[in-house]
Formats: sequence, structure tokens, C-alpha cells
Amino acid sequence: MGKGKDKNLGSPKRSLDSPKSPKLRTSSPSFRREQLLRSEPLPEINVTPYPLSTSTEMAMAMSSEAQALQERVKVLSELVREIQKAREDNASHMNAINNLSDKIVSEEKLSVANRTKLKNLYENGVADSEKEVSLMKKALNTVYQIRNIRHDLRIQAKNSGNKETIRRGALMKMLLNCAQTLPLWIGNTGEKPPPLCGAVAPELNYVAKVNDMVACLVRGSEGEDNWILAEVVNYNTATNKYEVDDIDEEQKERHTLSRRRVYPLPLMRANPEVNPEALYAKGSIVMALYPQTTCFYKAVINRLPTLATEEYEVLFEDPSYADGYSPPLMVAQRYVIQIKEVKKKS
Amino acid sequence: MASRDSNNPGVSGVSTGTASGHHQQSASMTAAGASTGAAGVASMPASGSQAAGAAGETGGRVSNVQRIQQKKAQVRAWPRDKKLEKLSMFSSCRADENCKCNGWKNPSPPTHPARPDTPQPAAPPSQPCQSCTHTLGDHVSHLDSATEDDLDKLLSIVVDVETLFICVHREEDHDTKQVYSYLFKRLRKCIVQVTPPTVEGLLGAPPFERPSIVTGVTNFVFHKFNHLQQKDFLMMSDLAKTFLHCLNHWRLATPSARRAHTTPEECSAYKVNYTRWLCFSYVPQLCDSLRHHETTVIFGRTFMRAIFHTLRKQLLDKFRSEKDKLPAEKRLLLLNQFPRFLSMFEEEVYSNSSPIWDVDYRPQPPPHLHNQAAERGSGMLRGDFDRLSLQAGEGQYASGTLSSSLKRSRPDDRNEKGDLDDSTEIVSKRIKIETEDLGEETVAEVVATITDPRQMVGPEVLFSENAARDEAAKLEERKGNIEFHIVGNSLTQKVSKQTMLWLIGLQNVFSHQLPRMPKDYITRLVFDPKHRTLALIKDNRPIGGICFRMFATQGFSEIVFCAVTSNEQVKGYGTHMMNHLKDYHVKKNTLHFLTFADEFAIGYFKKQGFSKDIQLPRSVYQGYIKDYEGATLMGCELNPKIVYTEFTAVIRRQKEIIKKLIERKQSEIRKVHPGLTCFKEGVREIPIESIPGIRDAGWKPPPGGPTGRQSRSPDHEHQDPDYVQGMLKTLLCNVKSHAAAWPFQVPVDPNEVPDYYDHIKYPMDLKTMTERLKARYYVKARLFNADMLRIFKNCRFYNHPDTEYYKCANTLEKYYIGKMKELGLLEREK
Repeated sequence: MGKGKDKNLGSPKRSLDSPKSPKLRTSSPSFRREQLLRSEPLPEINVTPYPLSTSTEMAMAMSSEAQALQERVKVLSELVREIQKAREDNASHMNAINNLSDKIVSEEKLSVANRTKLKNLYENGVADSEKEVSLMKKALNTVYQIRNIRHDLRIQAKNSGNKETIRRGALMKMLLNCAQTLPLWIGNTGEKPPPLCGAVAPELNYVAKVNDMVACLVRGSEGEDNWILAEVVNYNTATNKYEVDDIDEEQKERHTLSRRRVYPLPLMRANPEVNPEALYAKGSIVMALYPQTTCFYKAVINRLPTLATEEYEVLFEDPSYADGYSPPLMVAQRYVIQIKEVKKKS
Repeated sequence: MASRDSNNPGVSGVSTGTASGHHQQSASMTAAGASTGAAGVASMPASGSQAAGAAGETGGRVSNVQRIQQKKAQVRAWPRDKKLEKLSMFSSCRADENCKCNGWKNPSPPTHPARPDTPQPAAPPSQPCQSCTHTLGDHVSHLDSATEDDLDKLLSIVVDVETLFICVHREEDHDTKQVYSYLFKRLRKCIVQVTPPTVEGLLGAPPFERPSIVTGVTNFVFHKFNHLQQKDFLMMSDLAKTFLHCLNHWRLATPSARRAHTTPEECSAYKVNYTRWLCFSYVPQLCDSLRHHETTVIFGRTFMRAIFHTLRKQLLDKFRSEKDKLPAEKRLLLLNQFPRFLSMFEEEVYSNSSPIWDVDYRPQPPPHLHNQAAERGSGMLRGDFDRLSLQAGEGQYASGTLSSSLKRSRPDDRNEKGDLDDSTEIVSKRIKIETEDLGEETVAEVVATITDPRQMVGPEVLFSENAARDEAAKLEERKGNIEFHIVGNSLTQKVSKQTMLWLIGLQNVFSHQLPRMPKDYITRLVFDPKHRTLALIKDNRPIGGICFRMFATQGFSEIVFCAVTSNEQVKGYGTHMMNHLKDYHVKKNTLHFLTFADEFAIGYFKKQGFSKDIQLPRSVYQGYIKDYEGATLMGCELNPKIVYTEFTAVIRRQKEIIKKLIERKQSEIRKVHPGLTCFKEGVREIPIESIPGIRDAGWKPPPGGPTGRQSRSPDHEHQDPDYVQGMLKTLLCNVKSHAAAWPFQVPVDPNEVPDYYDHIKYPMDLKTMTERLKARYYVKARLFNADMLRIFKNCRFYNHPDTEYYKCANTLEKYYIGKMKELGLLEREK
């Protein structure tokens, strides 16, 4: 890696050798390439913790899970501090690289001493970045662990039978939180995002796992079909049918649905900076969860997220507006799925 | 005694002697600053029956007030025909519609001036009137059926009218004269119309400013002197009482007397307050048919600022001039301490940042009040101050006054204490709990713990337990993400473009969220200048709002539309909006909301404290509020003591404090007692105090007897029905929202289950139980229990054990019994 960088360094140097015009030099694109910049500062996200029902909270406080959670939270807060520190350290090395490059350019020659120095600096920089990446990964993993513990607790509470309904506000927070903490897919260079990462479709014979969230088409009391958000309870391999629970506990309904009426939600977020191919294109028609509800509706992608923490901007089909579309609304990657036409039996 | 004034000219039939004993003896205090002091008539009876002031003690001379009271007593003792004759002089002739005569005039007035103590024989009802020739009876025909009591009330007004007449006559100050003459006319009108006298018009209704002077002074004492020793503190509170008393009996300078050294604006503001003072405080002391208000209760800081300098000078002058008459210890106090007291108070009066005028100021009682909690005296002193702030409205405390020593005020306090304990003033109660039992440091420590983030790491903080509904919205408001504004259209003033844009946005939000309302109807009301809308603004766009119309004269606001745009719902905005609206209305002193809620809105309004039981009488709102078909009228009464946007936070905080206090107590004691075995042996009930360790844990028998009414005895037959009712309501709600409750929510439909009622003779379900609860059928917990258990029994009887229903019955029953035990409602099982 260090070698490659070194080689690259050589090329602007060569091009600088021949023309003497200083003007050309400063506008040289190859020179620009050497400026190391990073997107400042980290994007701010506001993760909303969601409350569990009181009895779950109480059960949690008494269980060992509470201890585990508390541990993880401490780890996470340490990691965040470390990451910040690593970023600051890294910044000073990057500045050193930039300064030295400037110097080399202005001197118009690359001495052996400078070359070695620059090489060392780059190696430091690479090490820094790797450290930062590993810290980030660790922090993300901790987030996922917390997410899983919370998820398990919620499912446990749900299955214990002795649950009290959580308030709608809490349910909405839970949905938002699930989307914000959805694992981010981090692949190696050139690796293709796997199925169910962002917009990547699931494999044909994919079966959603128990407790996974899915969108499913259910028939309402007035005979109309609705895509609702639900959780898988069971999949019967013999009949190829899912049993799902409406996420909205007030509905208290369990549905048994055929495979084609169930569509899994993405299991991972795609990073728009790295894997733009795993996002829906602008103008594509999708199904998206209407904000603050538990139903999916047809929508047009209006704007793509540019960062992993951002959401899609979509326009919902809505006849109550004069132009047939809602105003632009934000929907997380987690809740945007492919449109799936289910043939209607007349 | 009225005979002294019997040479008063009788005008318009007011021929009998009036109580115009314009004595000079009380002028010492009250007439001092008044330019009209010399005129005397209106000089205030500061002494006498009302006050044991120094002046009043100067001998057997009676005050104006007493004189008027005696006069009234005499009139009351008259025979009925005499009373009617008197009233006829003030009653318009009812003989025919065209008669303009407004009072019977005796054609043959007594030759010598009338003397009330030697009553003239009454004129016969047939006696014609000198001015309209109709008979006396024609003037009082409307009083034929009036009771003696009614007549006495009217006569009392007559006496006051006569008093006022003299006042008008004698008064030289133009402004004051005007007010007297206004009141004179007002009372005359009341006699003619037989209505209870009130002062209405532009003056407004008391209190005119909050907090009142009484509250301010009380706060001042707590604020400045609570570090003092008990003795000094008592002295200061005594001075405060003296000060308030003096102010209540102080005669205000007329506006014209002040005109010379004030700006025109100040002067006109003063004139308003002066008029209010005359109408509500000063004149009613003489004329008790008008409702009397203490000056210190109805006025606040603005008034105080206007008069303080004059007041101080006159008070000090007076004390100095009267120092020889004062008892020795009193003299010392007033001459040495009072000037200092006044100077300190002056600072607070004129300082713009003084906390004592803050409506929310909560006095910290001085340490000696809780360190010596055991000592009865301290409790009484606090009682004294509670009374000062709470009950001074009734003017009772005025009995302890200038010369009132501590000795005198104490027995009063003891009498008052009973009332005080019953007055449910949360604040004072809270202070009592915290301070008497624990001491301030403990409380401060606990408060520090619950606010210190380091003490609270872990799940509680990160994934806060069910947060208040509006907590998230409040956070967003603090961050500036959302704003709340009251906007409205106007036809007379220019409306800013911003407001117009918001109104259009609001109209869009309402018409989208309320598809059943015609759009033009929404537009009409949102842009109606009489309607206002509380707008919820995010990114400079309205995303929700409450459109309302305030009927200030009726004391209520009608909520017309209320909506939050769909993609911003379930975030607590609705609750926070309503709380803002409530706070706004508390500020405007309009304390009722009414609204017609459709079926989707009822739930929302219930959560916001609305109820179908309307507190306002129908006559107040009928014809004002828009009526909607198929909607439910709901109302909400506001409590002006509550800051609604902070309400949940405050309650939660209090809960936290209590929880911590309990934890503390538990860790202090840390002793495990073996369980009680007596119940197994068949004992049904034991006294609470005999439970081992309960006294060590700080339990005290509640006041009012060893078993006390508050003690929760295991025998539920004796429980307060309201208390049980409340618990059952919560319990029923819990049961209904349980996941296993769905089969039992409503009665079984015979169409769906045709044979159900063949098997089940006594059906029961949660809806029926809710109705029974509402109808107050469950006077005892066991009636409730019987119905609930019947639901489960029926279910298990009808359904097979394998069915979902059967399982639900078991699950819910278990949950229910657990809850009942928790609440202590379940009677002991075998």
C-alpha cells in the first residue's frame, strides 16, 4: 500500500518537471489529488431510545440483561471518545502530509530525504485510518449488540403474554430507532452488497426469520388490501405460509399469509458514499412506510440519501393533494422496499 | 348620634338623618395624606371595630362604621310599613308605564327633622306622592311579596346611598366626588331594580394584579429574613403584618394631589387604581352593601410602586408623632426596626429582578421552622404565614394589627389551624412534608442526586422509562426545532405577511386532517378576526394548530379545530400544543375550555384532561358555542396554579424525590423483621402501630385519633368510596388494555354465538363493568371483584380448555388478581 502511494507521488512530480509556468503548476489537477481532505465533522444523528412497556422495564431492571446493557453502554461511550481522539490524531498527520506535499511542490523537486519522510507520514496515516476504522466497527458492533438485547427483551415481553400495550408514541420511536440502528454494510473494496442490503432484492427462495420485520399485504375488515408492518412469528415450510403479528399491538391480529404476500425489510443499510448501486434510483416507484404510521404506501423516490445516516425523500401517492402526491417526506432505508404487485383475484 | 348631623339638608327625599358622623379622631392615620382630609366626611374609620389601632383605643368614641352599622340595625328594627315608606322614596312609581317618578315624596314632611331613634308613624300606603300623585303603595307594589330579609337588604343599600349622598356633598376633590356620585347612582339603581349591588364597568374585577401585595410581602419576609433566628423572624413577620394592616387602612392621595409631580401617563394609571381602590376597598368599608376587598389583596407591585414613597413617609411620621401612646416594646419595634424594614422592602418593590413578585415564587421557610418541628409554636407560625397568603382574602387576619402583640395573634392562629389543615394547598403541604420530617439538607441532597447525570448512568437514563407524552416535544422546543405562536387575522390592523402565510398553512393542515369539515368553513373560521389559532411551527411552516375562540366575558374558550399534520403525529405535539394553550388561557384568566369532539377526537381530549361532565352552567355557553351534529361536548377546567407545560415534569420530579427519600430511609434502617404470623392464626386485624419496625421506619399515627381516618384498614367496608372508585377505575383500565382482554371487551353477540345465552345466565363483560363503574355501582371493591371473576368463570364454563378464549381467561385472571393484591383491594382469601 505504502509503495503504491509512493509511486503515485512520483507522477505529479514528473509532470511538474517539464513546464516552467507557475500558473500551470497550481492548476494542475494531479497536484490537487494530493490534498488530503476529510469530510468535516461527523454527521450528527439523533438516535431516539424507545421506551419499553413498564413491566418490561421492570423485568429488565431485575434481569442480568440490565447489567449487560449497562456494560455495553459504557463501552460505547468510551469508544465514541476514542474515535474522536483518533480523528484528531489523524488530522495532525494529514496536515503534516499536506504541508510536506506543498513544500515539495514549491521546491519543485523531491529530495530523497523528503521522499522517505513523506513515505513515513503516509504509513502513519494509513495506520491511523485503520485504527479509526477498527474503532468505528467496534462501536457499530456495540450498537448492534445493544439493539439485539433490546429487541430480545421486547420479543420476550411480547411472548410472555403478560404485556401491557405500549403507547403509539413509543411504538413510533421503536420503529425509528430500529431504522437508525440498522447494521451498516461495510464490505471490502469491490465487494458487492449482499441481498437485503439497501435496495438489493432478497434471494428468490429467501425465507424471513422469526422475529424479523416484514411488510405484508393483509386484507382489512372492509375487504381492502393494505401493506402493513409486521413481525414474523412462524414459517410453515410445508404450506409455505407465514404467520405474522401486526406490529401495531392495538390491532392484536395474527395473520397467516402466503409467501407472495410477505416481503422482508432490508437487513442492512447501504452506505451511499460507497455503494450507491444499493439504493433505489431517483424517480423509481417503491413502497414506503408513511411516517408515523405502520402502513406502506406507493411512493416515488424524490431524493437519495447522501450519507449512511440520511433517509430517502419520497413523494407518496395521495389523492387528497391537488397534484396527487404528498409533500416530500423522509423515510429511512429500512422502510423503503420494492414495489410488489400481487395479482388480485377479482 | 346621627342627631348631631340632623341639620343635614334632606334632598330628594333623603330626609332622615344620615350616618355622616365625619369624626376627626381617626384621621390621624388615614386622612393624613389625603388632600380632602379636612372635609372629613370620607375620612376612613381605620380604628373602631375593624382594627384595634392606637387611634381606636382612645376612648368610647364610635367610628363611622359603627355609626352606620347602628343606623342599619335601627332601620332593621322598624315595622314593615315604615320600611316600605323608606324604600318607596327610592323606588320608581309603578302606577302606570308613563309615570317617570323615581321616588315617592312625602307631601307633608315632618316639621322637625326626622330622628331615627324616635320613629315617625309610617305614612299610609294610600298617601299620594308629592311629585307624581300616585300613592305610596304604587311605589312599592313590587315589594309586596318580599321577605323581611329582602327588605333589610334593600334598606341597607338605602342607608349606604344616604351615606354616599353626604360623601358626594362634602367631597371637594373632583375625582373622588365623581366616584362617589357614580357609586351613589349605581346603588340607587340597585334599589330600583332590586338587584344585588356590584361595581361593574371598565374597572375590571379584583384582583387587579398578581401576585398581590400580601403575597409579595409574605415572600419578602421569607426571602429576606428566613436566615434569622426565630425571635427576629417573628419580629419581622410582625412588622410585615403591621405594614399590611396600615396599608389596608391607609387613605390614598387623590390623583389631583399627585398630578404636580408625576407624568401624565403615571397619573392616569394612578387614577384608575385610585378609582378601583375607592370602589372596591375604601367605600365598601363604609357601605357594606358593596363587597369589600382588602387593598393589599387586590393590588400588586405596580400599585405598590406608585404609592410606596408617600406611604412610607406618612407611616413613619405617624409612628413618630404617636410614639408616646404606644406600649414600650411596640415603640421600640416600630421606631427602630420599621424604617429598616421599609428600606429593604423598598428595594424589592423597585427592583425589576426581585423574586418576591414572581407568581411562582415558593418561599423557603426559615430553618428554625423545621429544625424545631416538634415545637408546636413553630408550626403555628408557619400557619400564620400560610394564612397570610392564603386566607387574607377574607380579611380575617386584619384582627391582628398594629398593636397586636404575638400574644394576641397566637390564640387566633390556634383557632385558624383547623381550617388551614383542610385547605389543600399543595405547596404548603409539600413544604411541610419535606421540612418537618427531613430537614432541608436531606431534600437538597436528594434533589442533587436525581439531577446529577453521573448518578444515573445506565438503562434508566438511556432508555428512559415511559417518558411523559410531551417530553419529546418539549425537548424539540428547547432546541428550537419547533415554535408555538398565537396568530389571528384582523380587519382593523395590518396583519404581517408571516402571519398570513401561517394562517394559510394552518388552513391547509386543518382541511387535510379534518376531511369531513368543508374547506370553506375551515377557511372562514381560521381567517375570522374573532378566532385565534395556536400554531405549531417547524421549519417556518405550520405543522399543526388549535383554532379557538375566546369568550372572555363568559370565561371560556371554544376549541374549534385541532390537528397535527399526519406525518408529524404521535410525537407528543398535540399534548404540548394543548398545554401551551392552557398556559395562555391561564394568563388571560379564562379558565374553561369547551369543544365539540367527534368520535376520533374524544380520546385525544380525554388525554388532555377534558371530560364530558361540563363544569360550566349551560346558560354560560349556550348560544355562544358552535353546535355540531353527532359530536360530543367536552370541557376542561383549568387550574391557574398549574403551569401546564411543566406539569408532568414537576410531578415526575416529585415522584423521583419521594422514591429517593424512601430508598434513603430504607437504607438507613436496613433491618428485616420476621413476617407476621398472627393472621394465619386467625386474627383479622391488628393496629398498624403494633407492626414491628413500623415506628422505626418513621410511621406516625395520622392526626385525629389513634387509628386515624387515613389509615388503610384491611376492612374495606370502611374505605372512602371515592378512593376505591379511583383505584377501580385505574385497575379496570389496566385490565382492558391487557393483551388477553380482547375476548371480554364487549358482550357476546348472540348473532355470532347463538347458543351462548342458553348456557350463560349471568353474562358479564368489561364494557358493562365500565358502565357500572361510571354509574357508581361498585361502592365496594368486592362487587367489582365479583363481576370480574364472573367474566372468567363464564368463559371457562362455555369454552373448551384448549381454546384461545379459555387461555385468555386464565392469563387475564392471573394478571387481575395480581393487581388486586398489589392494590390491597382483595379481601383475604382462605
